[in-house]
This record gives sequence, C-alpha cells and structure tokens, in this order.
Amino acid sequence: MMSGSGNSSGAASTAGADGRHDDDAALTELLSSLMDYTPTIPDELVEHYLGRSGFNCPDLRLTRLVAVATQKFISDIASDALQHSKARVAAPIKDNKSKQPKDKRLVLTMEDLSKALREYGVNLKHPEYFADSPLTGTDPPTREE
Amino acid sequence: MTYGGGDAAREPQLDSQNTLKPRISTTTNQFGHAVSRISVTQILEATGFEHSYRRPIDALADVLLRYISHVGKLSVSYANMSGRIQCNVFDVILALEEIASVHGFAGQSDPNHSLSSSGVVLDLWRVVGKEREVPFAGSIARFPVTRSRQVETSQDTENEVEWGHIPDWLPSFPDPSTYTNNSVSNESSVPRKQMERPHFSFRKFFSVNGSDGLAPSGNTNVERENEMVQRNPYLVPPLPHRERQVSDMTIPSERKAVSVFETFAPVIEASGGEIVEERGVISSKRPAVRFRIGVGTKSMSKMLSLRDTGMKEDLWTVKEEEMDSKKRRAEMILKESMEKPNELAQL
Repeated sequence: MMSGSGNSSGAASTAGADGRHDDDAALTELLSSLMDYTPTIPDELVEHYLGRSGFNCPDLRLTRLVAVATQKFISDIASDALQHSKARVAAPIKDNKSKQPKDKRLVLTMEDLSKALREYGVNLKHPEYFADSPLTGTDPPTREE
Repeated sequence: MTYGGGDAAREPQLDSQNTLKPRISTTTNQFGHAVSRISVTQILEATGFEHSYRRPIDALADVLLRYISHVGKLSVSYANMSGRIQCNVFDVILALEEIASVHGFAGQSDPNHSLSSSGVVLDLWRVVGKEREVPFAGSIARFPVTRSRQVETSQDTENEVEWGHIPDWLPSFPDPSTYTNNSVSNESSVPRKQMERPHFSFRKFFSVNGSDGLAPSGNTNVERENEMVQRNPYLVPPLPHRERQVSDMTIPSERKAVSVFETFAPVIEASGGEIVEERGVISSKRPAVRFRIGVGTKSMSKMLSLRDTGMKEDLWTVKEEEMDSKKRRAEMILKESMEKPNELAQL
C-alpha cells in the first residue's frame, strides 16, 4: 500500500486521471473500511464533544475518522511514554550492591507522560507535593490497590 | 491493568475523611470524562503498559477530550472559511494536518500535496488496516439525555388557530376583542380578568372621612362603569370656553403659630428637664459638657484678657434671645476655669 501511494504521488504531478484515481483511492478505502472498524473511543462520546465545538455533520464516517485519529494520537503518546519508561528501567543502577531486583513492571508515571506530551505541544506539569494537609509526610491510612 | 493509589515520590491527595479520592474534573461533563478514562485505559493496555497510576490516566483522558474538541473547532473553521456550515472530509483532513504539523507528517513540505493521499490519511489507513482492533468495552447511550418537555396547555390556547410560521413555545395571542376597536357595549364578550380598569374615583377617595378610601364599592360592573364616567375627573368632558363662576377661596383663619413646646411638652416632662421657653426655642437643662480648652487657644486667652479688663459680657452676648442658654453654659465653663486655673495647662 505504501509503495502504491508513493507511485501515485509521483503520478499526481502529471495530472493524469489515473493519478487522481489513486489519490482518492486511499481516502475512499479508508472511509469505506471505517464502518467495519470499531474504534476504541465510542462514537457517542466523539459526537458529543464534536457537537460542543460546532462540528455539524450527519455522516457517521467523519465521526469515526475523528475517533480513529484521536485513538492514534493517544496511542502515539502512550508508546512514547512507554519508551521513556523502558529507558528508565534499563538505566544502569547506581548502587551495584543493591540486592533488590530491578522493577521490571511497566508503569505509566506522570514524569514519563509529561516528557512524552511535551513533544506534542502539551505542557503537563505535576506539582511535587501538597503541603496544605496536616498529614503531609505521613503514610495515608488507606491505599487503593 | 491495575491502578496505583498514588505516586511513590509524591504525597497522595487526602480529603477530609482521610481517604484517597481520584482527581476528577470539576466540570459538568464528568460522564464524558469517565468514559474517556475507560478508552484511555484500553489504549494504554493495547500499547503495552501493565500498570498505571490514577493521575496520568486522568491527564490523558483530559488530553483526549481536548483533542476531539480541537479537531472539531479546526474543522469548523476550515468549513466556515470555505463558506460552508457543514464540515467536509477535507475540512477534517486539513484540521488533522494542522495538528500533525507540529510533529510532522509525510508530504508536509509539498504545498500542492493532495489531501486525499496526505500523510495523515495514510497514517490513519495504517491504523485501520493493520492494527488490532480494540473495541470500546461496553456500550454507552447517546448523551446528553434531554427530558421530553411537556407543553403546557391552558384554556386560552384551546380556541387558538394553529399558525405554521409561529413556533409552539411562544405564548398564545390575547383575545382579539381586547385589541380590536369595538364599541363599549360588548362587555359580555370581554372577560373581566383581561381588562383591568381603575376601580376607584378620586372624588370618592377624598370625600370619604375616616375610612379606607381605596375600598371598592359594592356596585355591579355596569353601574361602576357609568359611575366612573360621571365621577372620574379625568373622564369628565372639558369645560367649554366661557366665563365661569369660581368659588371663593377660603383662607384659613390665622391661628396661633404651632408651638414646638406644646408639641413636645409630654416628652420633656417625661425626661424631667427644666423647660424654658424663649420664643419657640426649647431648651432644657442638659448636663454640662466639660471642655478642656488649651492655653494657647485664642478664645481662652481672649477670655483671660477680657476677664482682666472686665469686658467679658461683650464677647458672649451676640444675640441675647438665642444665646441665652449657650451663655449660661459658657458662664459655667468660665467659672470652672477661673476656679481652677492650674488645670488649664493640662489637656
């Protein structure tokens, strides 16, 4: 598919009918396959928030297109955060005498997420600590596991 | 995926009951935020994360909703720039390209690149065609849910003609007879509630002695109307132009000027003060106000000098009638100051 699209972009400059057909092929195929694909983000949610922005389109395929684009956006951020988290785990330990095994769990933390989002233009700053509670510095009595 | 209670490096947020509570958005669309949180969790799981803390998921859910709103806003702006109000697939592609221009996509440098085969479309095609489909867990209803509004029907709307161009939610028209120019005789067709006329006449109001002038009379509607026409000074026909006998004005006889003393006599007696009447000026003996007058003030120095010369009376008697009480008070102060000259230095 990628090579075919490369040829079509070269043929588009000649303004041939075949080139135009190939140009539209990607889009038409995408739109036709959207009805078979169920994005992770539900249609109702996307429709509601698009409606709040003034987006008015009765075609469901456009809604699905936006849903797929959003899903791709979030998954790109997640994969970047995963890379950051893996890099952190793979970093050499300073203390060689440590008997504790490296934590190989892949956990999404705010640090990794903020680093990943910075590349996409989203500034996420998490405050270090909250000092307005008298229990600051002590273990909380309950912890959700 | 498991949820962590909080970051290890940071203190968790505690509320009044000392229980951990998730930081949810304080806006009204908490339902949308909750649904997007589920979607984010599914996407993270598909990406490869096994565990996560609560706050990054909330942050990503917020980012997701903002992204959707941003794409919608950009698409609408592109549609409006082209003179349309309904969005096109190319409006959406242009919006996605604008967002992706920060990161870069294939074919971005070419200004004449076709929208149908832009890098954005190809990326999406890859997602749809190749990646494993992860449908949303569960199903949600169409939201926001609006309650069906019950249209209020009153008696007025029963006989109303249904106009096609006037929406139903507007109030009904008033009775046509209220605004059409008909004679006064058709009172029966006009319901009394809609026509409110003044029910009292000014003459009646002022002629009644000792009773509430605003109380309506017990007449029937017809009689009342005739009365109104006859007695209401505003409805009386204007006077024709001719000489008229005007009643003589009765000048009230001269009576004694109202004495303030007489009016406030009981009050003064109750307070137990001395009453001195001086041409309407009430004065009662009040407790003396002790003034501490400085040595350097003019009045005191003048007073002292006058004391020596013996002309103190001239200073105080400006108008004898009005200043009588004040004079008495001042004399008292003067006596005290003369008796205790040492205290003058103290302030």
